[in-house]
Amino acid sequence: MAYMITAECINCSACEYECPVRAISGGPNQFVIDAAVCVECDGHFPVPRCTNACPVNACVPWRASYAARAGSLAARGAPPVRLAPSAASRPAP
Amino acid sequence: MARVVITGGGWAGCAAALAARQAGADEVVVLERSDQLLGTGLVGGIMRNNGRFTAAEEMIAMGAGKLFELTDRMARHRNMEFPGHKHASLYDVPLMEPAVRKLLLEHGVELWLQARVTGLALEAGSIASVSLENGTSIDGDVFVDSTGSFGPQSLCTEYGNGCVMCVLRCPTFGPRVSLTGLAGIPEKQGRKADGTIGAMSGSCEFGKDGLAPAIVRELEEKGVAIIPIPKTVQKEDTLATKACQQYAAREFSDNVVLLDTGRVKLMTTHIPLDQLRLIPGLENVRYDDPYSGAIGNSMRYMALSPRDDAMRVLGPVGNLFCGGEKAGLLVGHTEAMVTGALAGHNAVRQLAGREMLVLPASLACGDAIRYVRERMLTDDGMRVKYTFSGSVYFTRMKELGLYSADAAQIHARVEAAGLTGVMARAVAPAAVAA
Repeated sequence: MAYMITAECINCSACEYECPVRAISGGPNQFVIDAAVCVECDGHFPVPRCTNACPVNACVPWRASYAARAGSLAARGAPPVRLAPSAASRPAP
Repeated sequence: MARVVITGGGWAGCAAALAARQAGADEVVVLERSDQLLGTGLVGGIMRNNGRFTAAEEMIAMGAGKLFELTDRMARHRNMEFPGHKHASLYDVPLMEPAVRKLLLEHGVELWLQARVTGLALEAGSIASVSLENGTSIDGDVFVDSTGSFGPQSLCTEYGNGCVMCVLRCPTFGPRVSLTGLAGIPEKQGRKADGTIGAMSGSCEFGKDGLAPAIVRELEEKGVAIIPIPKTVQKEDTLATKACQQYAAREFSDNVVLLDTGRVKLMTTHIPLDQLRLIPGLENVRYDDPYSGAIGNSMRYMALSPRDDAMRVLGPVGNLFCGGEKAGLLVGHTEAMVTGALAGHNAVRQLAGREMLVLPASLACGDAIRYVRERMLTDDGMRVKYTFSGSVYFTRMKELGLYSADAAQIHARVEAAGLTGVMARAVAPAAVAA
C-alpha cells in the first residue's frame, strides 16, 4: 500500500524534503505521492514521515474511493468553456 | 475556578457559551478555527419558519433565548412567507457576526479566533486540555464539541464536487477538526437517499449589485422573489443531494427562489453560472458563496458524535458534550442553538455534580433531540435530514400536536413542564454528603 496527499494540501513542500524514498513531487495543483515508490516509510521510520511533516494532515493512507473521485471531478481537467465572438462583433465581409 | 472550553464558534458553540455563562460557569472560552464566529451561520439567515417558531419560543421560555432575541432584532424581514414556509424571519447576514461577537463578550465569554484545535490530552478518562495548531495548550474542566460536520476539502472532493471555496475557508484556516475524533471516539456519517455519504448545502449567495433593480425592489419589499425558470433552461436535478430536504419541493426546481438576507440567498445547491444568467433579471450575477457555486456546494454530515439526550458524547471520555451538527442530522441555525444551549447548560450541571437536564417529549425540542438520536441508530434514519421547519420532522411535530405558532401557548407548555427560565438560572452545586 501507499500514502496519498489529499486536497487539504497547501503546497508547502514540507513532505517532499522529508520523504526517505523521494516518492513525493509537486503536481499540477498540489503535491503528489507516487504510489509505486512509497513504502509507507517501512524500514525507515516508525511513522510515515510525510504524516508527521504535514501541517494540515493531508498525508493519509491511500483510499480507493478518494482517488477515483478526485480523478473524475468534472470541474478539474474538463474541456474549457468556449464562447464564440458574437456575429455582430465580426468585421463586415 | 471551573472552565468550560467550547471548540467551534458556530451557532451551536455560541449558544453553548451563553448557556454555560447563564448556568454560572466562571470561565467560558470559545475556540474558533477561522477569523469569525457563526460558521455556516455566516450565510443562511432563515429563522422561525414553520416549526422553528415553536422551538425558538420554547428556548426563550426556558431562558435560553438570547440568540433568538438577537436574530429577531437583526431581522430584515419578519413574519414573511416563501413556498412551503410560513412566519419566517430573515436575519441580516452581513451584520449578524459582529452583533453576536458583541453579545458574547458582554456576557463574559472569552473568544479565541484563528484558534484551531489539533490535539488533546487525556487524564484519567477525561480531557484535561486541548492544544492549538501553534502549540498553545488550554486547560479545561469540561469540553463542548461544536466543530460542525462540513468538509474538509478531501471529503468535499470524495463525496461532493471538490472544494468550492465556501465561507468556511478550510484552505486558509485549516481543515475542520473534531474533538470527538481527536478523543478516538468513532463518528458516524449521514447519507443521501441513495446511500452515498454526506449531503450538499442547500443554498448559495450573491450580492444585489448583479440583480435587475426590479427584483431588488421586490426582494427588499417582500423578502422573497420567485422567478420562473424559462423552459429553455435545462436545470440539473439537484433536489436529492440537498442537506435541507424542506426545500426539496417542486417550487424550488421550477423557479429560482431568492430571499433577502442583506445579500441574496438562492435556494438551490448549485447551478452553472451560464444557466443562472439565462434567468430574466439575473443576467449579471456572480456567486459570492460558495465562490464556485456554479460547480457545487459544501458537503455536510461527515462526522457525527454518538450522544445521549443530555448532549453528552458517549464513549470513554467523561467530560465531553456536543452540539450543532455534531449532535446529529438536525439541520439549521435554530436546531444548532437548541442542541448547543443544552450542551453548554449540561456541561455546567456536570461540573456542579447535578443531574443532567433532559428536555421532555412534551416540548418539540425534547422530542426532536430524542427522536433524531433514535432514528440515527437505523440505516434508513441516517438517510434523512431532520428539521423543525419541514420534511419528516415537521410532519411529526404536527401529528403529535407539538407545532404551534402561538407564543403564549408555547410558553404555557414550558411552564407546565416546570422548565420556565430553567436555563437562565445559575446551577447550584450539589450538596456534599456529610
